[in-house]
Amino acid sequence: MKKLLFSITLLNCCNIVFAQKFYTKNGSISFFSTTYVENIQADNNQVMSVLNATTGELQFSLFIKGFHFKKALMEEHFNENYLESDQYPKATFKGTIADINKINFLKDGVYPILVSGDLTMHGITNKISSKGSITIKEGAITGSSVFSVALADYKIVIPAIVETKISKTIEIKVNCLYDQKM
Amino acid sequence: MGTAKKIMITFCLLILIGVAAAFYLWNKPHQNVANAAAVKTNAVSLYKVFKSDSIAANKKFTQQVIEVSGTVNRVSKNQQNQTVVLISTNTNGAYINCTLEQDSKNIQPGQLINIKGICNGIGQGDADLGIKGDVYLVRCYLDQ
Repeated sequence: MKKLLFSITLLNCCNIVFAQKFYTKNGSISFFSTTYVENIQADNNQVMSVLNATTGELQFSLFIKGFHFKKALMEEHFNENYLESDQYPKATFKGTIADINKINFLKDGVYPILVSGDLTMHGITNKISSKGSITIKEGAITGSSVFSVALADYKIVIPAIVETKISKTIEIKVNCLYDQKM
Repeated sequence: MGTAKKIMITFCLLILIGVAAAFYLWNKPHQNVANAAAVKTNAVSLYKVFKSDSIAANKKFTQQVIEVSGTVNRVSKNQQNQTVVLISTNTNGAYINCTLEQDSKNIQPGQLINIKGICNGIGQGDADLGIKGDVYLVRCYLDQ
């Protein structure tokens, strides 16, 4: 029994050592807008993300129409008027994790990270950087981060009539379990 | 009844109708996917049409309620504890990626399945890394 357990652990470790790239096609990205009038949240659970554990390269891509709101009308306005998702259907991020070699992918723990790169949405690309973490637990790798973006930086215009309901700065929460490797 | 009174009543009625319409729109529910009419297809042809002519596929399927039949490849939970079912296509590594709105515990790999959901199009994958894009279905229900 002990030999079997040892072999399984060894196999898991070998898998992690030999695999250099981890990815998911079902990562989660949510955003929050908080104002004194209303709090708005939308979730997208169809995020594709690839993490290169050797070079630290990290990328995300998602469909804007994949964001699901509690209220149907908000979802309509978000797609048709604010993000214009027929014209700009996807948002992407391409960047790198600094000092990736400080993360021991074989050892359980929560490793703080600094990610920087290009975030593209609504047809505009801006450089961003954000703190986050990589969590290793029993071989499972989860990346998470929370950062803010200003709507004006991406030329997302909110009409004056609903200006009080939507924050000018949106908080974005990333949570991806990299359940596939290559 | 005087003209002024009539105008006042009409004005009040118009305001009431306006408020009711705004209230209805504000609380308008999401599309009822479970009961919606669906375009029927199977996983192999759906993936094939997205790969061969994505413009035509987007016109026909994207943002539409579709019902896909196929064989379950994998069942997992996403970060929000929703069930994700991957239906096999005839391309290795590419799936119809279905996120269920209802909780479902009895789906097994190898099982033949009919899933109804809103199609969000095909993901971009990563050609350099050989990761193929899945066709996404969201707010899915099992069609028994």
